[in-house]
Amino acid sequence: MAELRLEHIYKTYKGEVEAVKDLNLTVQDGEFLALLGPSGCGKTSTLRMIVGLEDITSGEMYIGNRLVNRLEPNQRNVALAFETYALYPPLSVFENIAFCLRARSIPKTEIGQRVRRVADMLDITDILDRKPAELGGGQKQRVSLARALVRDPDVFLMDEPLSHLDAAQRSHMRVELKRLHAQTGRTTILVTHDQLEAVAMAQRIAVMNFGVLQQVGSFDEIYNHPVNEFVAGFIGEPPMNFLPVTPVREAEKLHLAAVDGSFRILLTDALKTRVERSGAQKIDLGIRPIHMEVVEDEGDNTVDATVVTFESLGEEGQLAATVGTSTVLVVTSPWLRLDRGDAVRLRLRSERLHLFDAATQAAI
Amino acid sequence: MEENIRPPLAVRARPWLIALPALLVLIGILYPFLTAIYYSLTAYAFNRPGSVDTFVGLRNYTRMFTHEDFLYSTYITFAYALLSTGIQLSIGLIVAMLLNRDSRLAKIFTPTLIFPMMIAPVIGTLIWKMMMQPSVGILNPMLNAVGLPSLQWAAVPETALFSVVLVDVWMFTPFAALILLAGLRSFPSAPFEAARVDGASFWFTFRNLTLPMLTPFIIIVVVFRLMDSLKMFDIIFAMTEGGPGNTLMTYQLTAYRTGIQFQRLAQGLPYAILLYIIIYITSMYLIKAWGRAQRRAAGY
Repeated sequence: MAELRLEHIYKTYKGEVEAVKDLNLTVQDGEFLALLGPSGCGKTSTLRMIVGLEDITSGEMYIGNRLVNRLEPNQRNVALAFETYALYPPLSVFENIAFCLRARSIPKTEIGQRVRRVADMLDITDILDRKPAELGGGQKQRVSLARALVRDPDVFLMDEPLSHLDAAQRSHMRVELKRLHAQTGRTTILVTHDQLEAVAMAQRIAVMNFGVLQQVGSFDEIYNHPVNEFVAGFIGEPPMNFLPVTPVREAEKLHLAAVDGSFRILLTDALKTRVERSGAQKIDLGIRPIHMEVVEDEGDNTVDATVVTFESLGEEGQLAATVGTSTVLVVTSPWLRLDRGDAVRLRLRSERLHLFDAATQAAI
Repeated sequence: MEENIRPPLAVRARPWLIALPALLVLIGILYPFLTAIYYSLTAYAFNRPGSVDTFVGLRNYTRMFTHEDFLYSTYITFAYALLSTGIQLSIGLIVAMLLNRDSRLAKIFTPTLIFPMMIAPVIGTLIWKMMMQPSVGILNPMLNAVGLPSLQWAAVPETALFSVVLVDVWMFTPFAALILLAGLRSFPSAPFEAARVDGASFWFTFRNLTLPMLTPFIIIVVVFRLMDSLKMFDIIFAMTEGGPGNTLMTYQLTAYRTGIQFQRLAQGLPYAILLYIIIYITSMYLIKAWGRAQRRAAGY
């Protein structure tokens, strides 16, 4: 068990592709961290550098205060559960799990004990004699986890471990993985593009995009206080709505007026000082679909909109509506009766507004 | 009326046309084969007219099995086949492993593997024969240059087998290397990365992962090379015609010398038929093993 520390890590591939840029990240001993981002954001490159399958272009990486840049994968004592499982096809499940122990010349009796213990933990004792091709996706997944866990790694990495499972297995494995982490207390890194997985399992989430670490924090931090528009738009389902606005001062009050002139809302004092301090001239107003509601009466923080589509999804309704030239998505009650072209009034919850400088995309 | 509803000729002829290739195969392969078996039971000799009608039963076979040179002939047939196949497999495996990397050198060397296979075996052998010529060939000076004594190569019984196996190895190792390289290239990279993370040494990975996954390809090489070298004729004939003495008289060479050169066809045929049976049984066995190995490599 150990702390993992990445300092100014860069990864540049042949042909000048910068996969990871100036990555600084510390994963505490025993922590469960999710590395979250869209495909091609550099999360898998980061993972492969931690494991040692990929050279680090520059920067320093420490596992338990030991510089590991130049160490081969086998000297780092990290374990990786591959996205494609990467089971050894000619070997039985038992041999697959025992592979790393045999490679280290651990006595046979001990190998048997350790394999059985981890097989027990993952509930795969009944398939130890089978070959990989005879297993289902969920079973392969467990074998690959067992193989990674059997050797007491300092850091345990999982690359999209649930992406090839069906929905039922997925929610089951989410619980399992969380239980495994609680049981073993290992430093664990989960690489995923699925925010639900990250939120469900990890204690902290690191969001990456275009090779750059955007924000690290608990779900609460990144959901409620996203540092920029990318994080705000990437976390949350359905995604956050953005409306382009400009600040307008009127008699000591600060309003935000839509660039297309369709609405104007009054800012609270707290937001007012933040906008004034930032000096931003163009602002993207972010509001999550669940923080808007359809209202009858006119009031503060309301905007007029026209219905594009309304779907009742059983437990909730989803309304797509145009506000001026922008389209917003609103989560509503499923019992509304709305048709295309209907005029509606939407209220934005003022304490839930997110403001971003349109020029830098950074939160204000 | 009856004639009117008969299908047109093209339709009626279709089954025959479909069966035609099989018919040709039957004529082209089975007929000579059965004729050969029949002739082997007669006293057929080219220089004795009418001898084809003299039925002698299994006498030619008894003669073959009891011939004083039969055991030696068996030994040399198998020695040649096993030695050349074994060496080709080993060197081919090493070459394939060396070429299985993403380097410029590998890219340059891989196509050159084809060169020895582009030359007709007889021509290649004749060139080797010239190089091996004890007094004017180029090989002895090369041996001397590195401090080794000159060899008499195929001219003396001691090194004759070595000389022909060397040519066979030169000619067909690239075949083994190419098949094995294709096998290595077809492997998914993930299990090998997993083995690296698991801390397996090169040899451990080779024994436990590479070799079992490569076995189907190894068997393919063995099937082709073993069948081919058991019945090898070109290299041995072009090099020494089976000599010196009877040093390199394999089944194939004996069948040719007895049946064609000495014109006693019926006495030569049993060697060819025995060779056929050996090759048939071996390849059947190997093909079965190939199926098993393939299932194992695929993870069943």
